[in-house]
Amino acid sequence: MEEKDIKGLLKQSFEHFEADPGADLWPAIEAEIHSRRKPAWWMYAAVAASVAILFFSLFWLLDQPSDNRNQAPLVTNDSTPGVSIPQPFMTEDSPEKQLPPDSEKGVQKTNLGAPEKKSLQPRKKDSSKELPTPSQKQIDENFAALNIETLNNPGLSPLTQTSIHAPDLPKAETPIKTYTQPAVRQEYVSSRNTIDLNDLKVEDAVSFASNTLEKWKNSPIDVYQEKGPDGETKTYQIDFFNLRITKKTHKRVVKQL
Amino acid sequence: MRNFFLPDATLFVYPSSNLYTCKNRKPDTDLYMIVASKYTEAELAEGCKRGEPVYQRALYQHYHRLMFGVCLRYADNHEDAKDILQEGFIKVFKYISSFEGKGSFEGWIRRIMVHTSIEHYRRNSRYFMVDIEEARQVHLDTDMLGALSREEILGLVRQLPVGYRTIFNLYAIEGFSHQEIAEMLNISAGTSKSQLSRAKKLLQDRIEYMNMSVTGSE
Repeated sequence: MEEKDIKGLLKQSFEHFEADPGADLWPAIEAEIHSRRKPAWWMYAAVAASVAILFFSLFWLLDQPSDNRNQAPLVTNDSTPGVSIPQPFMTEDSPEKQLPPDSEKGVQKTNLGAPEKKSLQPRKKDSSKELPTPSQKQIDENFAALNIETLNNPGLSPLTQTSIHAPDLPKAETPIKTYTQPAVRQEYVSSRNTIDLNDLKVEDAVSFASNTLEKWKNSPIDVYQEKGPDGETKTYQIDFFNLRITKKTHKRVVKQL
Repeated sequence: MRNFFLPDATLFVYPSSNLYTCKNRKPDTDLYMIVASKYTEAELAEGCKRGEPVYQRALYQHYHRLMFGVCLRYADNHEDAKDILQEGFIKVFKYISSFEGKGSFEGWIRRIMVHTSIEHYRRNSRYFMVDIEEARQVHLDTDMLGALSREEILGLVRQLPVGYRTIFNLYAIEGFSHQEIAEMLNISAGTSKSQLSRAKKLLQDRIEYMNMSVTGSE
């Protein structure tokens, strides 16, 4: 039959037929195979971008000044006025207790890092309005009892004593205190002023330059730095060519929000 | 000197996968042939399943000439054959895990190449297979065909239109039945038969023309 003859007729002659495709084919194949394994560049870019966004959003959130004044105040019941519990990052937010502006800076600076002790005195105004004031005598007795107890049992912590003596104290005595987080922020402020010696009178320029140059005559470069109190840094840079002196101050400022 | 250096060179080539990924290196096919001949079919298959570049390169080196011969039969021209070969090898490396070790590895790769060629022309030409029911017996002079050299036959086959050529390749060279071809190409067995008879008719004409021109020149 004709059909049988032609079916697979040429199989023998073409079974081992070989031809050379050229040497440039393998690099293309290899590139294709290996590109499958490696993630594309935009994947790396996407990962980097998402990490950056996450980082910056976190930074922004932490950097936001937290203002608790509008929120519900944190109310604590102190059954014993003699016992003070350290409260980290809390300051009293009553107009009476606010410090004068002179001492405010120093106090709040220390507040930033270290926990602050609560004020021992109860707030008189609020408690007197709402509840009857206990007699001074009663308070004194309680104080005396507390002190004696503390002296007798120094091993006991003040908190356990509180629990013992708490029922004795009248509820009326409990002062209501509100606490908010400090509304301050630490910032670094730098300023720069340039003095052009050409603008000054000759005598002034000479005196100024000699006074300023006196400070860094020992220093080999044209920059002189001096450190003031509170981490303030002053940097003087002289531009010999234009006869200018630039003063940069860099200082830490605690800002009231 | 040669005997002294050769083992060192092979030792250097064998464990280093970096050598194959290095772009600037000039391909040293002789060394690759030595590497490729070290492995059996099963070892090559296993190595490629693990995705090791050394084995992938060796596999390519082992089969690329043979498979290019297959691609040439199905392709219109040399460039198409190269494209098909590249596509086919990428498929081989992609689907190597589906090769279960039954049958010969070479046969598996060959089948992938054939399918890739069919896909290539099915995708690229709009009228790959014209469904014509025409069962006309054409007598191809097999003696005349057998007298031709392999390169001459290849030249004739490659002059055929895509559809005829594919069916002629599948039937006369790979040895598939019309039913198998019909399943492969999504056509009816009758279409396969008619396409084959047309292919044979064209081949017969061309062979006669060749003989006429040869005898005419004498």
